Amino acid sequence: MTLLVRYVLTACIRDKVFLSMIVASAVAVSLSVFLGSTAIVEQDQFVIVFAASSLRFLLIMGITLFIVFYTRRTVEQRDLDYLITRPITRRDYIVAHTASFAIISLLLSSVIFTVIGLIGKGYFNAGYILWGISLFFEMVIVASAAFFFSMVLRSAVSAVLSTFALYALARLIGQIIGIAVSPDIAAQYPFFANTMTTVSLFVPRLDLFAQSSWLLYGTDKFGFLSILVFVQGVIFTALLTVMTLIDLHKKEF
Amino acid sequence: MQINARSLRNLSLALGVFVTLQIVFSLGIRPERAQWGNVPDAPNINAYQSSFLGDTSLAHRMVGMLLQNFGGSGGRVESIHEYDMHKVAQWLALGFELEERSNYLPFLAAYYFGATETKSELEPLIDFLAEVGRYDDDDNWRWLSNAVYLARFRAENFEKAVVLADELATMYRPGRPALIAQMPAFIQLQIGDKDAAYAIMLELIKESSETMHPNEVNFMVDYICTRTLSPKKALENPLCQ
Repeated sequence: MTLLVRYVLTACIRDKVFLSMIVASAVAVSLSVFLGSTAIVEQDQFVIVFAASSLRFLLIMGITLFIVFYTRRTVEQRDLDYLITRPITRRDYIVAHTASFAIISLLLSSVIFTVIGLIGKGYFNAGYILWGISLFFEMVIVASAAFFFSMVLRSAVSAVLSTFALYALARLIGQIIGIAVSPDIAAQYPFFANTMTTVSLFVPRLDLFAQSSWLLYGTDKFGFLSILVFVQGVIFTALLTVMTLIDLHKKEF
Repeated sequence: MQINARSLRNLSLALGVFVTLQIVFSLGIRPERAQWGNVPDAPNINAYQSSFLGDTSLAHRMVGMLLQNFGGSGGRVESIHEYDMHKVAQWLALGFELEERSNYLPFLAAYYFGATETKSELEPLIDFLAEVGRYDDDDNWRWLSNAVYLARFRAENFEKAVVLADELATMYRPGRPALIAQMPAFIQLQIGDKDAAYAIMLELIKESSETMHPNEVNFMVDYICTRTLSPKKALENPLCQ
């Protein structure tokens, strides 16, 4: 198991994920500082929000692309076939990969958390901690989704698009529920309202994760949101891991 | 080899033709500029928020950036009085709904768009500032005081200024500036109703003199005696003795 984790981390370093993310983060922060400084007032707040939002999106894109292309390469170059002929069970393979992606998520989100902490040091509050924790869990969920789609789908492009689609849906699901349950919509479009309410049961509530407003104004629901983020992160990651495992068990080599 | 050389020559020729066409085309469209179509209608909050994947804080900041830069189009800058302030107010309301704790949009309304010289265009901005001022927050009363200022001095809408000043006075709490409670008296005096100004100030002294700073109480006594009363009446009033 430890060897597999080291194998994935080595692949991550070999693919220059960390280096690319650091360079891309430097560009994103520079652009945020430039854009934020054009505001008439509240320049610091603009910089913090722009940097936090762009870096979060950058991390999600980075981890998705790495996982999808890494996984497809492993499958297409028969590394997967080779690995599971060794005394490694299919379950170990999936669990080790999920753990590796969580470690990568932790490393990358720690770097971004430090960067945002330095940018917004004048505003530091408990909201930063919550933002950092929820960014980590958001990344773990997306990483698990990217791993699932890249194991299930044969095309890397389809896997990337599916992951982004799930991510977008998860970020918007709070709003969608709000629209669906509003009396007007529920009365006029009952089919749409019922469909979206049902869909929302199977989508993680990422709209409650890593909110930029916490960085400026903190939050008075720290305890509740911490538990929510943790529970949602664990449940949905476990769900995706089990789905990936079922898929791998069904595969014939 | 000859075929390759001829193909390369033909390709070079084609490249030259397309580069020339591009230059001619660029020269032809050079006078074209992005047109200022004034401020567009504000979008629905759900649709706008979706563009930022539900990140309300980012959506709010982007509204701020858009509003600040609406008049800048292709190297041209439009004067503030060209703006359709009713639509600006729609955008301001959209941004405020996205993030009620930020002061950026009220600041833009009060000090940036509030600089317009067209009095009628100030009305939607005053309404927006009053709406922000009503939001339950420790400091938001100051945006209502900005609305009073704009209504009284810039729009010269005395009726609205009085209504807003009365509303502002209800927000006075010990610890907040006495100006909040005194505002109705100031406005009444400025529109020439000295009796109303006198009554308001007197009531304030009776009700709040124990909780207000002594300097504020002295100021109100002086205001009554020198501004709201004639010298003859001041001599007769026991407060001015």
